[in-house]
Amino acid sequence: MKASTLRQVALFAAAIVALYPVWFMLSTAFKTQHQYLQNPYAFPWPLSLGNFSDAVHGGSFLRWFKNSAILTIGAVIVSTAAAALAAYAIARMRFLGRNVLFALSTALMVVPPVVMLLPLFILFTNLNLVSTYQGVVLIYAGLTLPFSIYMLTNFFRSIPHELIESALTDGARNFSVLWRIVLPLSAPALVTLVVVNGLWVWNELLIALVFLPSDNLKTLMVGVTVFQSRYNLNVPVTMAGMLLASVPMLLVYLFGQRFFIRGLTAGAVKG
Amino acid sequence: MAAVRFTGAGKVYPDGTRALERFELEVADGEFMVFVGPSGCGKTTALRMVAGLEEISEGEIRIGERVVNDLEPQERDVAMVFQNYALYPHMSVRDNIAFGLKMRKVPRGERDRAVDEIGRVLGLGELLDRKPRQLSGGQRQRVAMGRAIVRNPAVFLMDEPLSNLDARLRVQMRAEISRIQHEVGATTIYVTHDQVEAMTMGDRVAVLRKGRLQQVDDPQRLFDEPVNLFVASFIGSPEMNLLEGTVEDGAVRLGGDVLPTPGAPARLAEYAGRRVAVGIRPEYAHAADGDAPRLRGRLLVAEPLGAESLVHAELDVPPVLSEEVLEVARDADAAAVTELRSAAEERRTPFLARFAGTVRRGSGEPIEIGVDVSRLYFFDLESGSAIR
Amino acid sequence: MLRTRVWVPYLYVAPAVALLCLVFAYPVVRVVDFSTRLIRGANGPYVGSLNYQLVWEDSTFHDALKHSALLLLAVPVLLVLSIFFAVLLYERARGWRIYRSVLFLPYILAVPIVGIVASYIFELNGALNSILRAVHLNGLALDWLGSEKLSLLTVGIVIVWRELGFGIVLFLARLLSMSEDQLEAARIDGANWWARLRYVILPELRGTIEFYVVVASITMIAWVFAYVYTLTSGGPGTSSTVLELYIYNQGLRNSLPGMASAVAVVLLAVSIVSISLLLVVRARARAEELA
Ligand SMILES: Nc1ncnc2c1ncn2[C@@H]1O[C@H](COP(=O)(O)OP(=O)(O)OP(=O)(O)O)[C@@H](O)[C@H]1O
Ligand SMILES: [Mg+2]
Repeated sequence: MKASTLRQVALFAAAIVALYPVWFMLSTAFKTQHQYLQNPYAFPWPLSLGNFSDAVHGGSFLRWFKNSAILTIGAVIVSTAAAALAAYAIARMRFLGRNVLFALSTALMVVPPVVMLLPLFILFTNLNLVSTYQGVVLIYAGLTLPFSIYMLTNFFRSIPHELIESALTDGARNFSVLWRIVLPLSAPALVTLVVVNGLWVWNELLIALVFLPSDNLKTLMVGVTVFQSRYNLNVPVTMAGMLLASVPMLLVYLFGQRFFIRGLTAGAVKG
Repeated sequence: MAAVRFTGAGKVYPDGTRALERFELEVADGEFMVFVGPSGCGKTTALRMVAGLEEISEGEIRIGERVVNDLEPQERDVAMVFQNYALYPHMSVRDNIAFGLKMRKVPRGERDRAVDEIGRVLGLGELLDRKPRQLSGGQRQRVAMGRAIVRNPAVFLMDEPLSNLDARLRVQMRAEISRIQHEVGATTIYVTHDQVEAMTMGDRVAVLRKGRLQQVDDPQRLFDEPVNLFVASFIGSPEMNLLEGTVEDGAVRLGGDVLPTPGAPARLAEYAGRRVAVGIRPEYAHAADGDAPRLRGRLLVAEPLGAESLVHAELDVPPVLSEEVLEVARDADAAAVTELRSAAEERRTPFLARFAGTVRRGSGEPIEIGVDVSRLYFFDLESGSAIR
Repeated sequence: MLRTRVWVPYLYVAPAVALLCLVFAYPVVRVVDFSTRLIRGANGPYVGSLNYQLVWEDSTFHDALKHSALLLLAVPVLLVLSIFFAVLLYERARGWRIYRSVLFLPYILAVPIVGIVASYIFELNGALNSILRAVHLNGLALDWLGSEKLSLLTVGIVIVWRELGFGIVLFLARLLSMSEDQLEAARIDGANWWARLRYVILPELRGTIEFYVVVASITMIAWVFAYVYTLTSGGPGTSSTVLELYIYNQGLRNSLPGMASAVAVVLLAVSIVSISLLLVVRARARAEELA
């Protein structure tokens, strides 16, 4: 066989494997329970739409979705804002402890959240921050902060210093330089941060499970596990639920693919 | 509008590099001052100290009556034009120019009027809504100028603003910057290492070397009365010929030739019998006629320039090899230094002269160069200072 | 550098430092403290290394440790597959952009959703086994999730399935940023596919490989909770329990925060060793480059 044929075969097979679970989710969601039990991989025909109304009634997807969105947006904003201020100082100002701070913060990127789980839980219980948006936003923002600082510091360092100096002589204060010059020029890095951190927070399960136990604050990820245990035996309804839960991300991916891929790899490729 | 005064100003970078030492200079209100010198001599450093972008390690700098050592750049009321223009890439030309006004909380209507006015003066009219990357080099340069003048700052600072332009545009912008500066009348400090730019643009020129001020004067005086070998060899294009000669009674011996020294300073007599550096500008070296004083050598090549020719000759006289001369040579062309060294070993010196008309002689043929002996320069070989 | 008053930079870093203290510094200090105490509720008497001894004597911990270590085997698999597919795409196979989007798709799906969907595909009578039986591969239709021998392997397969997309895109991005002159020169010099990979592409990818190996290792040791929780909950028995799940179970299910903290400290130590390893390797590589 020719090399190009081999290449196509390998890629095609990989594509099938990559797509299959999505196809499984999609096709099963349109089957009746009976159809599924008869043949779990057959094409769904006739199409049945009942699973979706069951799923919508049985789960609280909208509420879960809202909770996840609030947490994701909140955490990304807090993380980016705190990181931008810190990275600006680290990249552009001279102060004692600057290098130590940067090195420490970079090292924190690899500390797994589960290590902090118990002490944080006890602390937050005492502070009455369990089962609050604010509490979990703080945790998520903190957990994503090391990466944000790392990314923005490197980016800020690459901005030509004349631009900043020119703004200073133009009369801008340090903060306006950050706000009007540095941040607008850092749009690519900010996109990366939004993608990477947003994806991470959106997908996070452990913290959400522990810190947001109350029903009306559950995130989408906790919600789908609850939903699954409720409909455990009715696979088509479960899949309809999973599909509903995946729609937001799939849409974002469909329309923002470039940002996704570039954003995820930008930090790593340079290093 | 304000004068700028350096008093004992010095700069030591955090890594210990000394970039400026005991700098004393007053730039008068409305004056166009040029800082010139070879690469690394501290021009940019001095400029940035005025802007507030570098800390002032020693001494003080005043703008007007205020000591500005401890003022932030935004409090100093200066505007700077950077070598690469530093236009904000994410803003339109209009926003770039208006940025300084906006930072100073100038109301919107006034801001727009000012930008339109500047746009008209600089011929940027239809470019106001473009982004910097959509502009040519010369247009960017003008936007950078506009951004600086729109604020009507007390002092204008420019760091080699023309070095990124091609030769034609540079000549054109040279004239334009001079015109704008005169129109606005702002005190200006202009940094360049191109001495032609310095001589044509400056009201006065400050020559720096290794962080020290060598001489401040208007261009004519700088040309006519350089205070030392460094300034003499740095200023002037083509540069001054420097030869080693021996002082005799009312004359100086250069190899096999003797030139009378009618207009020489009285102090030259103190050097009788000793060796000095003798400077002859190409402008005062012509084809020899009659029995006027002359130097004899060999023709290397003659470049015809139309009305006159630039004659490259070689004399059997030792050249001046002082550190100052070598530094200037190195700044212009690293290879020139080795050439100069080997010339010195063979006791021959390259010599430039301007002959009227065309020179009809071949390479290697003997040539006689007439010298205007009232225009000789003499320098102490040890100290490098002018003898006068 | 901006000139500022001495205290101004501290003002800028204050929010970040406060957050880092809240989320990292304080909890890490406390977790070390907890691990030396007999805790019921939030505090307890100092017991020295008792918790570590208890953990050491707990066979579930040994299982969890072993499983976390075994999951590291997924790293070389991920590495080889990522580079393989990245190179295929880089060679501009027909439709490579579409393939890139498709192969990256799994990474977009949330881990809990992936876990749940996969748990149905890998069921004893789920889609995978039905398909295998339909093509007469009955021998391969195993109890992927219900057998103690296979559950960890299945978890590993699902992790590789989802994480592969990131690896491919990462290496592809690195390859696309490399100058093609080298490859063309190699081709003109007569290097075949394997030689080009071995002598041109892999050396070029070295930094990215280091980065990816460390990131993937940390993922395997410390960030697989959601996979395990949704796929198997650690079962059957303890056959797919990993360190993270062990900490979660001991700390929050079994109310043994002392033991959970001891394991957390172990996990922290493992992470620190990994990052140090990366930094050492990188520093050495950089020193080599300079030399
Ligand atoms: N940030 C710095 N840290 C340490 N030394 C520096 C720094 N900036 C400049 N220097 C040194 O200070 C001296 C003067 O530099 P400066 O930039 O003022 O030279 P310049 O006259 O502008 O030269 P050029 O014509 O090449 O621009 C040089 O020796 C340079 O190496
Ligand atoms: Mg300079």
